[in-house]
Amino acid sequence: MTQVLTADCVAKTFGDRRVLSSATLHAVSGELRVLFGRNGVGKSTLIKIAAGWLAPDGGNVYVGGQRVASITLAKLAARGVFYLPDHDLLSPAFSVRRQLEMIRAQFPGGSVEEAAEQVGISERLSQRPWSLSGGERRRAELAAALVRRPTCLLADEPYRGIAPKDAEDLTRIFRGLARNGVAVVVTGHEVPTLLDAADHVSWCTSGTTYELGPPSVAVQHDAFRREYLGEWYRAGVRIGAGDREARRLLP
Amino acid sequence: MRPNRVIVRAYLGRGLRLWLAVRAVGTAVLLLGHVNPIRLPVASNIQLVAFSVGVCFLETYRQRERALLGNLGVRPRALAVIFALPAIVGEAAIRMVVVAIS
Repeated sequence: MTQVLTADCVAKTFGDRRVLSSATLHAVSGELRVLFGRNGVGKSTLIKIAAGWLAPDGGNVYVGGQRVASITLAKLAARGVFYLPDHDLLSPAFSVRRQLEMIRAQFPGGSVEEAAEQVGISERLSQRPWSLSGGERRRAELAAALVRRPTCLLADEPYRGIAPKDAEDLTRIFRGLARNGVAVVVTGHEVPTLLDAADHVSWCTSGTTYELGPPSVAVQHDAFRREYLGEWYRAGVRIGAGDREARRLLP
Repeated sequence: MRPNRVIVRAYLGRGLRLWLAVRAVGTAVLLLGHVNPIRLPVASNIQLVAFSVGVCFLETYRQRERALLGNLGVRPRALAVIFALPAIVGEAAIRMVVVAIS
């Protein structure tokens, strides 16, 4: 397990609002890491900085142990980083196939057909992304990642607005990438799905990050449970909001 | 990282389409101002090329392609060259035709 990418002691201020003061993000090969945090605490900002999408006010980004000066996504992409933004990745101007072909031509090695089959969009390749459903678009984006064969995948809220079945497929693909040695970092609020999938949990809060460890350890963390998971996830027992009996039995 | 042929072809096509659009609108405006749109000073040709590259970048932002291009390792400078190429060739061709017929 080697650290493929590290955004170290990152600081970022928007106007007079300091979002991050000293946050760190590690992407480790063969691991699926999840970055949790409440809305507005800066987890998307952190992942954007790690991907070279946003310039930090302070801190450094290291790829393969080497510091990257004046980071841009294009620079990091050449070093094996692939970034899935919190909005659509694929352009509505070209067909899915054409965009996957662009990636394959730029970074040889992957196969468009194999990737499309793996994510179940073989019959949608000739369509433009705007004509696909949300779940299909997410899968097409993952097909792009599969064609790219990155060493590090940074996915910002990839589960947004998709059905549970699509979320399941997405998790399977993330896990498959991690199994093949890719360093995967995912953000999101889909706690059960992400906790089931993750190897490691990081928590972003108050401008900084905490490495909580494996999910089984993370859910025991008092402050994480109190401030992020909330009451519905206590002592590793998931209870629905309407499950009064379960609530009554809990301490 | 240099963009490969597939990317270059896709964005050259956009550069050509948008230069033609910019040229068509520019021609209409110049005709309204009673200026010959074919016989333009070199500075105006350069302005048309620059404007057409600007419109291409706007289109790239409108289509939200920044992340895709970033993931492809394509830097804005390389993209600007691709966008400028059809406009430069087009403007040069117009000048050559004007010289040939005059």
